[in-house]
Amino acid sequence: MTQIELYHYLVVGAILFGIGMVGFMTRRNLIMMFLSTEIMFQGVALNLVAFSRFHMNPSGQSFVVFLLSIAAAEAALALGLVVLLFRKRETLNADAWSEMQG
Amino acid sequence: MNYALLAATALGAIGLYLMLPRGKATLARLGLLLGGMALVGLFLYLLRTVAEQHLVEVGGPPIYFYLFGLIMIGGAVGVVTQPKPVYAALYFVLITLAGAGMFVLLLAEFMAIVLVIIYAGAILVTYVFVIMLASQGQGKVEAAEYDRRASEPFFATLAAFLLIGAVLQALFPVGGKVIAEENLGGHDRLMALNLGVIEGVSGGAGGGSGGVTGVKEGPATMPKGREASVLNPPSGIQVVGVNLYSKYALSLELAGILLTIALVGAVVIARKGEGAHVLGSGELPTE
Amino acid sequence: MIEFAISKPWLIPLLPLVAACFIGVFGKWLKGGAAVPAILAMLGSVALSVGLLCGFSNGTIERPLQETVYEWFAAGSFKVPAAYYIDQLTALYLTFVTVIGTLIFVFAAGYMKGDYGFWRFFAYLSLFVFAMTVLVMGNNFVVLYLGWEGVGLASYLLIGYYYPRPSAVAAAKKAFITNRIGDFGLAIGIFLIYANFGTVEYTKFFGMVAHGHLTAGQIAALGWIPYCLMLGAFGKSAQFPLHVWLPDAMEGPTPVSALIHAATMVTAGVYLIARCMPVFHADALIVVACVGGFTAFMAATMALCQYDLKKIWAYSTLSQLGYMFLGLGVGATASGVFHVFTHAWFKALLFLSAGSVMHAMGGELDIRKMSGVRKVMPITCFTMLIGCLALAGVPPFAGFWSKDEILAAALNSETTAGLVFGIVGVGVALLTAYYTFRLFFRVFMGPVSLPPNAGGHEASPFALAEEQGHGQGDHAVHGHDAGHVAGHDAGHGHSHGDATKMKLDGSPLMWVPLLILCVGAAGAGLLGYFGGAGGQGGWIHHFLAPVFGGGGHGAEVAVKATAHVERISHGGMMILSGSIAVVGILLAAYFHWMNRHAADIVGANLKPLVAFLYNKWYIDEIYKVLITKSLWVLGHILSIVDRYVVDGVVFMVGFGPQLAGYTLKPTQRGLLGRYAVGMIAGLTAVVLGVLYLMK
Repeated sequence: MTQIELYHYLVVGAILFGIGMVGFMTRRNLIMMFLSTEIMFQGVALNLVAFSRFHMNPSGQSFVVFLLSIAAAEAALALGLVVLLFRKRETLNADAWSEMQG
Repeated sequence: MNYALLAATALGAIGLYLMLPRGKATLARLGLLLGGMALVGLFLYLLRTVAEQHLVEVGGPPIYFYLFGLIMIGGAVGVVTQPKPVYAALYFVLITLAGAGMFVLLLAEFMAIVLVIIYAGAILVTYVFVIMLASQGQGKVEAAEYDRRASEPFFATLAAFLLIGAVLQALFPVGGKVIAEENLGGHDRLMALNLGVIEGVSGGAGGGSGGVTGVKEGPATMPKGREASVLNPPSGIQVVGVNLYSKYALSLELAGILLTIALVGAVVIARKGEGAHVLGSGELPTE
Repeated sequence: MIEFAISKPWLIPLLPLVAACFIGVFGKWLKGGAAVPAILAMLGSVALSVGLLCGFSNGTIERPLQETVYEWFAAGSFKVPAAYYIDQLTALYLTFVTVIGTLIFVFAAGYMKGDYGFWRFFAYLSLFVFAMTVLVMGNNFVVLYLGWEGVGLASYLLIGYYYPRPSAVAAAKKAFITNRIGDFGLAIGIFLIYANFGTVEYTKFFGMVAHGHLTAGQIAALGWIPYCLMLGAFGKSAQFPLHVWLPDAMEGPTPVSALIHAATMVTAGVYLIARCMPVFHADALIVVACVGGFTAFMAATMALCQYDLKKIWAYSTLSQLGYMFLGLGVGATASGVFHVFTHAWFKALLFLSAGSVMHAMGGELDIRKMSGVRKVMPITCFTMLIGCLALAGVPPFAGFWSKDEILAAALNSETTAGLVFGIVGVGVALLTAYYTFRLFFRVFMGPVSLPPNAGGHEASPFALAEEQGHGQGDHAVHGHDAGHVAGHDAGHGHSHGDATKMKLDGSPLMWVPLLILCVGAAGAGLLGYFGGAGGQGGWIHHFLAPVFGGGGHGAEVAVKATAHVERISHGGMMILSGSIAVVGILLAAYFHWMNRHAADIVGANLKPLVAFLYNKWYIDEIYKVLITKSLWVLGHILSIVDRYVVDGVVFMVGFGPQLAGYTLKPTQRGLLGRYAVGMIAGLTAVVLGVLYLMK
């Protein structure tokens, strides 16, 4: 069994990111859309930590700290908004809010 | 163009496309089969590629990598394809835990713990709360209509897997051989020392070599010299802490402010009563 | 008084300005009392002006007063001080502007009573007096220009005073735009003076010209400067071809016509040329003489066939201004200024009398619709008669003396143009006497016949609603002396039997100024014959001698630069012009008093000529075709080019994005998922592109 290299992690990160993207695009449920973005965050975080490890640079891990704080902030605000939107229309379907078409 | 990777990507795309919720009896099982085949094929391909030999096993034991990778990707597919949000959230817990395992493999124990605490412990719980709150009173066993039918599955899968394919092709330019130039600067070398990746400056260079001179440039709190690194095997927390509070001190403060703002914002958004209709109802104030 | 006037002459323009500001700000609350501060300010200015005049006359002031009040602005070497320069000419102008102005203010206080814009009117009038006094007091061309534009502005505001009336607005615009052409000339002249002589002050500039040692450029500029200044003077003084605005300016209230468009503002052109006489060379003077003479003739013929009371006096003003320019042109500067002085008195009197008639006749101005007015307006009849005699040039009234001097100077001029226009001027004197008394006999003599709305005030657009509610009778008695009987009768003004009993002269506010003006109209001319020191000429020539040089009688000494030819003696001239005036009056008396039918027959026989004159030589129509229409056509061509060529290009440019917008509109459905797909597709495309390029 050969050694695990940087690109192994990058492949997993890219696949996570891609699947998260698919989820963001295909799910109509607002909560699920946000959850999909969390998957994308995970892919990115994995990449960052892998880079940090293989390039011997702690900044990668520092970035993960920031990434987590952004994710937390996003979760707090976005989910609060989702709850409000749900109260308004009694649905979580993102297509119910199409006012953006102007 | 790497055709094996291309085939795996295409197969994975078809698999995921079939697995996406359609609202009626579908070819989801076939999709799962195809996707699984693609993933296994990819991992086998990864196994086959040849890489340089490091001094130590930087990437951790391969078996754990493949295990965690499989769990993560499988969990992600589960999140995306599961019609019921609660189950999807549980799949996500799986991703988080496997991710934490990956971090451990990468000697980022602190990150692993943080991930579990913050993601699994805080964010995911919030998600589950909201899911409960939002599906309250529906009383239906079945998932909602909009959860049972994916929107634009074809274009979405196509676009996403084009991107994945492109990245994979870029990662394996020549027959799967990765050329990883490790061109370590002074700071990187210090890091390497501290992470225990390289065995100090093994014999040849001695204390006076470039690696050791880099010590003086490093932060004062660092364990000094070769002995320290040997005595204190991989201590990522220390290094990350120093890095975070020296190089990214300002960014850290900003992140704190951001979190505070988010906190205040969440309180304002969630507030009911007097001002609630202004902020929450989506209507303009009438007065 | 004299001492005070010498020390603080700048109060003369300042007082009316303060009054204007005060009335402008507080006028709304002053209502009918708005005239009081204006008149008080005017009285102050009168005192100072008369003080200055006396000071110059009795020798207290020996040299022109010149002092810088403060530096108005300075840009590099270009400095404009707000300074005054007061010599005899200025003092004379100041005196008649303020004195006549005061009388007209008093008249207007009675005349304009009950108008909604009463206070506005006095604010404007005060503003006008301010501008006019600044115009004549400035020591440099820029201050003159300030006053010049100021009087133009006041004139514009006052002509358009009845702004709800479209004709008034049109007349105001016409006056303003026509004046612009003249002002343009004046501005160019000032630019030339500064560019070539580096100063705009009179004394420095004239000093340089008089001294000689001029560069070639300066000499060339001196060739042009008079023509530029002349254009300005012609515009302001309504000389041909810029005369068209003055008759239309009669749309303003009658006191305005009297003050601005007859007595003072229009003589600013004369002032300008008189002041700048040192730079007017012989060629330029011939042009001045020709234009003046021609305008005198043209306007006199136009006046022959007009029926509008005020229009007749307007053309007469044009004609008299023509005389003044003729006088300037033949070198009789003092005589020209003398005519300005006398004309101001009698023309103000005529206009105010006409205004009085108009006031009494309910705004009616057509001389065909009234007759025998002397029965109801004895005082006005008397004042009008004095004014007419003065205008017609009957000795010893004012117009006789000054016109006589100008004609004598013209006839004795060495230049052919002077001689020709002198002869024309004699003819014009005949016409003047005729049309003046045509009006007088038509309106005041003959059987009594009044317009149906006699007794009511002019139908002002601003008349207050409550006053209208009281009916016409009340309007007649707002001059209380007219008595309660008149108030009753005026309501039945159309019944002729009662009409004769009416007393329509108006309040003393109106007829007292008329009587005072009568004194001026009758006596002002005598200043040209008596009171002169050293036996030669009158007081006026002696007075103005330091300004224009020489002394003695205008006709003999004022001819500038050229040795005049003695063709006609002064005594002969007096006899000639006196008899001409009498002949004109007799003609008018025959046709318009004794035998009006004969006038109709003559008019019918000369129909084309009458139509030609009635339509003012069709000059307005010619201007319309030559200037207005051609500009209109040009404007429409440009409009078409703009619409289809310029706009077309713009629209083409705008059409592209519009088309793109319509094409892409269906993609914007507001669905979050679609946007995400679009976004990620774009991201994918970029990544693919970058990877492809990096290969």
